[in-house]
Amino acid sequence: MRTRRIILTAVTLVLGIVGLAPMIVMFARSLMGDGGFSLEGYRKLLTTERSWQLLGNSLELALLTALLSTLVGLPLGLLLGKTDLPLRRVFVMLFTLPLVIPPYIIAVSWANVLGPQGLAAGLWGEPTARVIGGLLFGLPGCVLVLVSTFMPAILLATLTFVRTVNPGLEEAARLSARPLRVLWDITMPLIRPGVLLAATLVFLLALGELGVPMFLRYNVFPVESFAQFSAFYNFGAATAAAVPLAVLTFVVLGVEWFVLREKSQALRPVPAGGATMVVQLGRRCVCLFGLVSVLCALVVVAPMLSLLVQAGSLGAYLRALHAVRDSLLHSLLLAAIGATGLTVLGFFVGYLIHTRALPIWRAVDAGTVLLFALPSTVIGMGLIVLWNRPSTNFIYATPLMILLGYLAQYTALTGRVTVAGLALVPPSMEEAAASAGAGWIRRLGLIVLPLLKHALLSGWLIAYIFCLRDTGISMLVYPPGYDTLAVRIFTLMANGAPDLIAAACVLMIATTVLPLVGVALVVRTQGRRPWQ
Amino acid sequence: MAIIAFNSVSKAYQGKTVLHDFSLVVESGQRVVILGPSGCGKTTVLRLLAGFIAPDIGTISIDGRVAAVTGKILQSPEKRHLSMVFQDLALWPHLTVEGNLEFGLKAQGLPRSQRVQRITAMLRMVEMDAYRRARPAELSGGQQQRIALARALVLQPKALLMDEPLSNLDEELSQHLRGELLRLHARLGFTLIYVTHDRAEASDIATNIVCMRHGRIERSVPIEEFKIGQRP
Repeated sequence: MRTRRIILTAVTLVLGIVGLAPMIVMFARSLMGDGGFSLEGYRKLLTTERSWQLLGNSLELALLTALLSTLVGLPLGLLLGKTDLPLRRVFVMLFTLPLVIPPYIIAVSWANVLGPQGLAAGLWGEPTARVIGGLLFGLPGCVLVLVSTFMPAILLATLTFVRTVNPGLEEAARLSARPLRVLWDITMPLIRPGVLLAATLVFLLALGELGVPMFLRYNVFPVESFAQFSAFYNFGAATAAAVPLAVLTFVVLGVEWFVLREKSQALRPVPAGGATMVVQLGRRCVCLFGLVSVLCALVVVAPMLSLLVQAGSLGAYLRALHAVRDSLLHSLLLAAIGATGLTVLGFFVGYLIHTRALPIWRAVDAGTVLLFALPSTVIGMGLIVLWNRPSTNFIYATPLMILLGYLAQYTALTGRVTVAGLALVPPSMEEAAASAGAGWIRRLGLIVLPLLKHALLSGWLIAYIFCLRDTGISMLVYPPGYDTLAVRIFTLMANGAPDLIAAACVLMIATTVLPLVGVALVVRTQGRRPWQ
Repeated sequence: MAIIAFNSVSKAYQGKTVLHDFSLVVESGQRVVILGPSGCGKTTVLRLLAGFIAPDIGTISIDGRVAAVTGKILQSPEKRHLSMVFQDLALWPHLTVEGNLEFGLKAQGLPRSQRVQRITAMLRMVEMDAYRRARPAELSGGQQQRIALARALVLQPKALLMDEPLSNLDEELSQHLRGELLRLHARLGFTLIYVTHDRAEASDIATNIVCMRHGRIERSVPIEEFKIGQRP
């Protein structure tokens, strides 16, 4: 017990140093001016019209993205999760694709379709393309790109939560009502807290998005914060612009926690081979299949195809590979190391949350979620403020900064996967080992870890994908000469040839999709509980 | 008059047959208890009857109409006018007691005044009128049991199906609720098909007993005959 307490306390401390300390130091730094305490940064922030406009833009973008993502993702999730629509798995995989690649790549692909030199210009002529291009480079374009990027989060949440509804509740209703009514009156209210949670997450992700608004030239707080730091090196203004995002994230998560906690009633782990209600679409099947196919073609296939068309020849891919080779290697290496660190940290964090072994487990849980929801610019700024000093230059001037950023932002992912995996392992497994005289380390090594190996592997792959697609943190903290692929493509966009950029984007997608295939294979075997 | 008829029904899950050549006729107003150990196929009988699954072979008729035939469900669950009390009760946690009772009545298209009347009468019958605004989670196990029963009976079903509804209760409460069930049956005269593995429970409730083992009917007898067979 003592060993367990010591190790879990140490893990909590690591999380505090990696995640919490940068936030505290950054907040403190935002209160400093020339030579002492100063609220000048905040005074400027609160008194300039531009700040309020930025806040309005940020909120507008986040709200519209969350709302539209939910309006599309929820019905789509119900359609793919609760009906007999053909090719459901294929659709889920295709719709999920934009979620695993950096959002700005989706923006690039949309620019290839709707931009001034895009496919639309060729089809409809320049005047029409100019109007469409005007819409793309602004709020409508940002919303379009972010909805197609984050809608899969709502879709996946809906799919997950409909599978956790106790089938008995739906069957009881089926005895007196038609399937659609059961779906509306029973299933929907039961999954509402989960879907609202996902919508909140989408709101926060859109609020903190940097790459898309920057590429589509729509001014929001993360862009302002980044510009103040990288263009003007005005640290006070940059941190002051980051703090409102942190506060907003904290408030939204707080409200969500108070409103939605304990509301996931009647939800249970997915049963092994358990049957849930499936709505037979009958004659509507063809029509709905057509609608989903068109949506998939518009939102996923068309932008991806546009990149392939733009890249054109093999020569472009070879030039792209030559241009981004080092960055690609950095990305693969950092993602692999980052995912491994995240799996280890996430395992202990997940174990702590699941077993509630320390009284601080709830704070750890909330802390990791808060860090995940925080805009990456906020985390990046915090890391710079904390580590940019002579005594810690051995960290600041190295790729360790990127790894620290990954650990700070993405531990919630691997932690959650561990919690979900542990929920499927009966507590009696570890208890039996304890009663046989095994100490905690031995129990972990010989019982818990082997039973969790599929969950941990899934967690590793998910973390790997998120590290690979990360743009915000890497862009802020990468040391000279050690940029990642996502950062390299972003910088190429300033002066690179369109076919080179498109080919680099295709390479980025390929490096992300390959591990995704691995995830899909692991998830398929996850249905079987390891001890059975 | 036969209200339910199983004719040579068989059902298999993943290649394993759980019900073999099952035939049964239930007359209106009877209290039929299907008795057998876990895994003998008794819950499958209820799920077939409710319309959640189709028989692989055989025919199921309800009130003289064929409801399911080899591999096909001809009458969907909501058109069979049957009610069920589930083992875990399956009370909808997001609805109040009143909402739980009202759901099926709304689906039947009953006007509000009639719905309120039926709900009030039923809640009084199970002595739960004071709890109509409560959520299931606020009720005790016995109270939840009564609400599950009320929710099933308020629809005035052709037959009430019960899947080991008392298995999670202590013996005293279980006996009390059995008494209440018989009282309600005497008053409303519904047809009851009750599944249990408990012989005492079966003896208390049944007018007819169907004993099952390994997916087959071992014997199907009136309760008097069953009790004679039980004497030492």
